[in-house]
Amino acid sequence: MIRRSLAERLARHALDVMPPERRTWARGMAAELDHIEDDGAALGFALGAVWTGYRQGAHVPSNWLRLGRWGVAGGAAALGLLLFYLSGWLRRPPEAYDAVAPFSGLAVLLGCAYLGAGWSLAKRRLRLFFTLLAGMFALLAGAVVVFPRGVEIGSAQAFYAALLRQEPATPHAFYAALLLEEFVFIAGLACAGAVFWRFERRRTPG
Amino acid sequence: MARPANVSAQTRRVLATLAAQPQTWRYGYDLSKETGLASGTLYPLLIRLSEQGLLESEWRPSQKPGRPQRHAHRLTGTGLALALAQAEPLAPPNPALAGAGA
Repeated sequence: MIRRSLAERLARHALDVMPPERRTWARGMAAELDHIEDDGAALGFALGAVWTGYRQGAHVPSNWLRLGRWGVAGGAAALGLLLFYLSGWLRRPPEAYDAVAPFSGLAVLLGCAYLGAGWSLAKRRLRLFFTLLAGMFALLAGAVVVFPRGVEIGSAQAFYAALLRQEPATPHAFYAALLLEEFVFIAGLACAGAVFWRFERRRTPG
Repeated sequence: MARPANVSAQTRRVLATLAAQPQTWRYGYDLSKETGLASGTLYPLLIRLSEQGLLESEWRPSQKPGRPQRHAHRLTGTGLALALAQAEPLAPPNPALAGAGA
């Protein structure tokens, strides 16, 4: 019974997210549920309906898109400011970050790029946004090539351990943590940007 | 006939299933069971075929009393022609060349 109820809820959700011009298909899928006797099969079918809705370029209200875009842009800008802070530009960071000194140039460059990425996303300049992300990725990849010894998970863990103990970390550990974090953040921003790109393109006439 | 590059194996399976009874209106769940495709795979294919003019759909009354109408589908003439073309086996290899690599 719970599975049947969940299937019906999912079918309604599929109807909500399906683009208006294809909503008949979502209604068709919802109608099929009444002809599927097995609750488990109905649930599986309804999950497929939701998946279909999202694959068709889910209809997302424009205010949700704006809110999401500004949220991610704010996050990118916050990362930029965080890097400025860590590099000692704003105020003295925790002791573990004393190790930032050899890499402050890299941190400031990345910070500027994050701010630019946030601004370009907020302004819907998605090409610039992706160009900045590509530039950041190239910068980090270049750093890995120039100094590959720093790229070790163990070193990053040592940095976080030092941070928790409020002790100084080695530059080596800071470098590893910085690279690891930035690759993750850039990948996250790229995924978010790809989502906005897809929905923004659907809203562009022609 | 050369097989269009953009027709996937899944699409061919759906086309073949629909072409087996071209005049019969078919329902999504039944198609899903017959083709072995999950609804999340089947319906995007059906939508694409419909938008390419290869599939027609309409609401039909349920054969079971008290049940809502069902969205039914069948191939258009163009869709049937494509399905039949896809069903043709690939041309056999040139016999003169077949033994060359052995």
